[in-house]
Formats: sequence, C-alpha cells, structure tokens
Amino acid sequence: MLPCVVVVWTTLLAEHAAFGHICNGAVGDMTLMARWPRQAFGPIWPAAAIVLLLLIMPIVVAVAYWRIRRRRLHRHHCHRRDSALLCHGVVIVTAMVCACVSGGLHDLVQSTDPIIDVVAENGGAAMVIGTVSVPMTVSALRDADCQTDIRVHGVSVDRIRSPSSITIRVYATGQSCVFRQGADYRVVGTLQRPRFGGAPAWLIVDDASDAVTEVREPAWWRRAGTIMQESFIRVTRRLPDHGQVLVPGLTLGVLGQDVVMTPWSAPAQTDDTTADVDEAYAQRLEDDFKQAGIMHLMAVSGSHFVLASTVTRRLCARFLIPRWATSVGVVVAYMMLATLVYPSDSVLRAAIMGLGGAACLLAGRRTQALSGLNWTVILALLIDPSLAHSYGFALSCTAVYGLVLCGDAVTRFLRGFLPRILADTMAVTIAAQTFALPVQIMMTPQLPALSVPANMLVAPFVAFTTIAGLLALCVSWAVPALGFAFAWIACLGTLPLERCATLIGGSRFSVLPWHEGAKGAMAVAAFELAVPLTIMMVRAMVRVIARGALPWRGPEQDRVAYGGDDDGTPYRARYMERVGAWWRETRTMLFERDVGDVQH
Amino acid sequence: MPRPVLSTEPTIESWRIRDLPITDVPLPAGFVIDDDEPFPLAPADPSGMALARDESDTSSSLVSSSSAMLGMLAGVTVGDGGVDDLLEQRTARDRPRLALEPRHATIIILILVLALSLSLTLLVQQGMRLSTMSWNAADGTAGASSTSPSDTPDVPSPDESATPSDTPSDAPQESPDTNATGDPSAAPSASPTSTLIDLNTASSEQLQTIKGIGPVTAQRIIDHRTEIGRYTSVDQLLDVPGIGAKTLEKIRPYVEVRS
Repeated sequence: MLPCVVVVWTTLLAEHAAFGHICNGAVGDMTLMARWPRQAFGPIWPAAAIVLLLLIMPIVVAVAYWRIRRRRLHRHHCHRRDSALLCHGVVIVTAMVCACVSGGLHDLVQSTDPIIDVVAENGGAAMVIGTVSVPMTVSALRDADCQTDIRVHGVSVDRIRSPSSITIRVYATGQSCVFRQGADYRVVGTLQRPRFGGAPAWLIVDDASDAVTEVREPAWWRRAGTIMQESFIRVTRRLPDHGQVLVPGLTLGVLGQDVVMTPWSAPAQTDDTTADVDEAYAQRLEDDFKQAGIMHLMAVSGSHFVLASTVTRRLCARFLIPRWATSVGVVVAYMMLATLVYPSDSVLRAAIMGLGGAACLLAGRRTQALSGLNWTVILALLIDPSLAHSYGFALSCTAVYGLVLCGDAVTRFLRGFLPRILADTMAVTIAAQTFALPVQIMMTPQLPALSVPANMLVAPFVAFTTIAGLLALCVSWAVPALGFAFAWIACLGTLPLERCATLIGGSRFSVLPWHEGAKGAMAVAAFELAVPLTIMMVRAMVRVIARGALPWRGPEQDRVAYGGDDDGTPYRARYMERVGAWWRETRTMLFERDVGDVQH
Repeated sequence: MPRPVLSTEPTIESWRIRDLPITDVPLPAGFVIDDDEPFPLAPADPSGMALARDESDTSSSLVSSSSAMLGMLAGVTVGDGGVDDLLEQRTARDRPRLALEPRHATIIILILVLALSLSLTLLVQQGMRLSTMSWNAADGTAGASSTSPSDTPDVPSPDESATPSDTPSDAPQESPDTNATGDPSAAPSASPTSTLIDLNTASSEQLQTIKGIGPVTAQRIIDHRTEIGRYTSVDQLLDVPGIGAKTLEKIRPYVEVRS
C-alpha cells in the first residue's frame, strides 16, 4: 500500500494547489479564494470536475475488472505478474480519485464558509458558537493572554446567522480566558485575517465581561481528563525550574510555561505559594532544545502509546487474562491516554495506529508496522484532507516510515562497527531522522548537525522519565504527595536532557543554515540518497578489487570466482565480530579459574 | 500402474519425462505448464540454468517445466528471495509488497470508498445543527451561570432585546423631539415588545435608528405607508423598493405592526 499512500498524499497537495489556482490564481491562501465571485461560475468549475471524476471512477474500475476476467478466462499465458501490476494500477487510480474527491469537496465547503467571507472583507464583528477543541495555552500574540481553537458550529454576522464548519483560532484576554476543552461557547469578538499559522481565521475576543458564555458543559470524561491534567500541572509547579518546564512537556506534550489553567481548577489560594515559570529561562531552554534537535521529545508520539500498551499487556499476561479482554484493555488504555495528553496530529496518528495494533491483537495476528502505518495514513487523509498540510502529522509519519523501512538495514550496518547498544540507539535516531529531515527543513531551514549525538545522549533517560511522568499524571488528582514523588523522579530524569540541550544546543556548531522551502528539502533528500549509494558503491568496488586480487587459475576457476552468488561470497569477519571474539577470549583468559583450553 | 519401458541406454537424450506415468497433481489456480513458452527460471537453480544454456529450445523448455513443477511441488516460487531475508523475520514482514491479486484489490477499493463516504458524511453533517443552537443568552443562561467560576452576578438580559434597546437609545441624542417607544437606557431587561418600532407610527428618524435602514429607505417606507394607508404586516415591507428579503430579515427583530 506504500504507492497508494504516496499517491494519496501528493494528490491532496496537488489538488489543494490547483484549487487555489483555479479559484483565484493564488496558491495556498484560503482567504483569497473567497474573493472568487460565487454568483456565476464560482464553485461550479471544481464541482463539475469532481462529479466527472466520480462518474469516471466506476467505469474505469469496471473496465479493468472485465479485462482481468477476460484474461484469466483465456489462460494461454500465465501472466500473473502482469495482472498483479494491473490490479495495483487500478487500486492506485481509485485512491487518486478518492483523494481528489475528498480534498476537493472539503476545499469547496471551506471556501464558501461565511467566516472566510468576512475575513476576506478585512474582518468584522461576529458572534460565534462552537466547541473548544484544544486546551487553552499561552497566546502567541503579545496583546492577548490565552489562545485556543474553536470548531465553529454557527456564526452570526450583522444579525444574520449562518452555519459554519471551520476551526478558527481564538485569542482572549483576562477574564475571558475561561475556555474548557470540549465545552460549547458563544463568543463575541472581531474576526481577523491571520498573520501567521495555519488557521483560516482569528477571532479576537471583545473585552466585555459577557463576551464568552458557556452554552454546554464538556462531557464527563473530558472534565475528568481536564481535572487530572491540571492537578498534575499544579504538582509540577513545585519542582525546580527545569522540571517545571520539561516534565509537562515529556508527559503531556505541552511545555510548562505554555499552560494556562482554567479558573475551575484553581484551588483556594492558600497553598499556591510557588511563582509561575520563569519566562526567559523557559524560552531559552526551548530554543536550546530546538537547536539541539531533541525538540521531538517534547511532543507526544507513539512511544507513549507503546508504553501504555506494554504495561497493559504485561499486567493482563500476569493475571492470565484472555486475549480478547487484553485487547479491550489496550483500547481502553489508548483512549485514556489520548484523553489525557494535549491533542495534536501526531497523537492522532499514534492513536489510530495503536488501535490498529489492538485490532490485530483481537484477531490473534501479528502486527505489521508498515501495513498499519499505510492504512492509518490513507484513512486519516481521506477522512480529514487538511492533515495533508499539517507539519506535525507529516513529521510523525515520516519518522515512523524511516524507522520501519530503514531501521533494520541501518542497525545491521552499524552493528558491524559499534557495540550493540550504541548501534541500536544510533540506528533508531538515524532511521527516524532520515525521512523527517526534509520536512523539518521546510519548517525551519536549518540542518541540526549535532542531533545524532544529542539524541544518543538523552536516549537512556527518556523511557523512565516518561513512565514516571505518566504515573504522576494518573495519581496527582487523588494523592498529590505521591504525584509529587513521581514528578520528582521524572524531574531527575529531565536534568540530563536539560544539560545536553544547553551544552549541544548552545554551541556554535549545532545548526547549519540550509536553503529554505521545497528546494532545500529536495536538496537534503538528494544528499541523503547519495550517502547509502556511496556506501554501497564503495563496498561493491572493494569486493571487485578483492576478487581481482585472487590469482587467475583458468576458465574453471574463473567461472567459480565470478559465478555470482550461487557459490556464496567469501566470509570476511566484520570489525565488531573480531573485537567481540577478542574480548570473549580475553575475558575467559583473565577471569576464568582453570587455565586450560580457551573454548567458547 | 504400467511399468515404464526403458531403452537400452538410458541417457538424457533418449529418456523423456513424458515416458513416466503421470499422476494427477492438482495445480494452483492459474498455473499452467506451457511447453511453447519457457517459464521464467528461478535464479537459485544453477543446474537448470547451465543446462538451459547448452541444450536446444525444446529440451530447455522440458527442463524448465520440470524445474517449475518441482518448484511448485516443493513450495518454492520465483519470488522467493535469498535465505538471509527469510531468517530475518522482521524484515520479511515489513517489506513493502507490490503484487496484488484481484480479490485484494477489490477489498482495498471497497475500503477506500468507505473512507471517502465517511468523510463526505461528516462534511454534510456539519451544517445541520444550526437550529438547535442557543443563540440567545436567555437559553444558555441557566447552564452558564451555574458553572460560572467568577463571583460576578450574571445579568440574564436577552441578547436580542439588549441590542434594539441600544439603538433607540441613540435616538434621544440625535433628535430630541422623537417619542422613543420604550425607555431603552432604563430597562435593559425589558421585554422585547415594548422596544419595537411600530411601522404605522414611526417617524423617519426612528426608522433610521435601525441598522440597515438609512435616510433614503426610511423615506421610502413612509412614502409606501402613505400610499397604502397603513401596514397590516411586517412582510409588506417587501413591497418597498430597496428592501429585499435579506434586508427584511435584518430589520425584522426591531419592527412590528401594532393594530
């Protein structure tokens, strides 16, 4: 399914660019699309193209299937390979058509949204009803206190109410920062065109006291999750500085200084003697993490879900619980984890893939990482085409693709030179970074030159720190003292992270400037392709030279020597194998009691 | 089973595989041993390759078909790679597979179409909840005030009446000789009906306080009123030139017809 994934993703990107071109000759700016006059021929053009594709697809599929059947009936040629390729081609065409339809219709609906219209006319006052989809965080604008995202249900502009379906970014100040995740709010404010970021519109909340009204409470599980998150944050506020910033980042995916707590959870102010996080220190630490290339640790990814699943499965195996109940337990653990951490696209990807793994457990089959990842990406992109433009989703997917496709080859290569533990850690880092580097270059045009040593330095501490943090998250709402104990252990684990980031991120050689944009990404990809090709060419040349050094003994020996790999390749011990043999013999010689034959 | 008849010199040229009694081996679907076209040979069959290079076409096809039969019986196919990869279980599981059979392709296509229809259903569902939303503060107050964390008292003023009570409040400043219908500044919680403008008795200045009506439109409303005598319904405003359906919906909350 890998070609399908590539086809679907590139089709969505191309369709988005084409939609922008068709509508207004501008690429990638949703607000400019709204200026296309909707009266005469506005969305009819793309709508007609989509309908045409919908009509063509079943015809193509039917024709292809008829031809396959006709071929099989004839039977005078055994063209299994041809029919396999034909089937694959049909699947790829179907995937392309589905992606076009889904992406086109989503773009169409978004371009005719009333909020986009308002923003295209340079904004205006509006009242918005919607559901808050992410917890509040510290605002990126200087003149606002908090920000959040609202999935809009309806908007009222000039007292005309219209349905709307986009997700906008909301900035609020002071008393209006009362947003709870999962609740419905009615917000009065001013719509604005966004100056940065991926949201299609910004809503700056008015300063009035009744600008934000809660219309519906969040669900009970959402409320429970928020309470647990906030008790955990309050516990981490009692840790030293680096713990306040890093422990929430490692556990929840949000750095300590970015958290804004809702007024519901503020306790009676008696025991709140700790100050807020030191802003300047936190900002510098965050920058050091980014320079060192270990910022991905501060985002929740598959490793959290793997930990949760391992713990659940071990627990269930301990009590000899049947397999179907184990898979239900794993699903429950995933749901709880997805509720507790701050939502993001990489969490979505990890959760869907994890649920696929739980389904495999239920069916009693072994998981296949590549297949699971392919299907996760295809289904996620078809159901929500906006994920194709999301950097978080792209980084998460490319890192896992790198691990799955190249991980073993790199491990095998490195085990020839390095001890097993070092080789494994380095292989994980290199494999994950290989595919993710072009996407990272598109985000910030800088090459993290020292990211491999930085990752290898911090790798041993991440696992137990994450476990301690998750345990603190689970118990802080009930027993804050125990939660503080776990958080303190996690804080111990984040000290090496902080030291490594300051040391490596602060050095002059940590980043190299690179060409920006798509060109830089392609240059990096070409460079990464050249490295293994060079290694393979060097190896092949060494092999040819070694063969050429054999004395030539006539045509018989010639055929044997150059006969390809029927007779096998001559064995040459790799470096680590020789070192390992030497070490075993030395150890036996030095530390065994009876000095006799050294046998192993 | 008849005994095979062997010739006196059983060399490879005289002995043919067709002389042996043939048992009926069930072949896999789509697998046909075709003597006219040589089957692509497995690379791990050096003896077969060597012989095929030296012999003529017919015997090479014999050898190739026999090795193909042998391969099929032994469970080894053309696509099987080297031994090392099979030993590395993880690699074999995670290698991308590019060969699909028609039934696999059908299932994949069905799943793709299902995902597409789910996506479109979610898209269509988004606009369907407008009527159930509580646009007025009066509907949402009961829930909001009980969960409001701050200690400020929540003033349950209906949203719609607050705004028309604001706009006529401009009227006393603009034109002191208008008789404002209601006391907007003193009654934020007054019921909506007392602050609506009566179309039959309103003056031009009163009509202009409504957002969406300017001086020209106000004059046209009054002219139409003199033309037809009196308004009997708010919908008659559609007859006024310059007021369409959209404008009517805009101004409807502020006007009424009192008999």
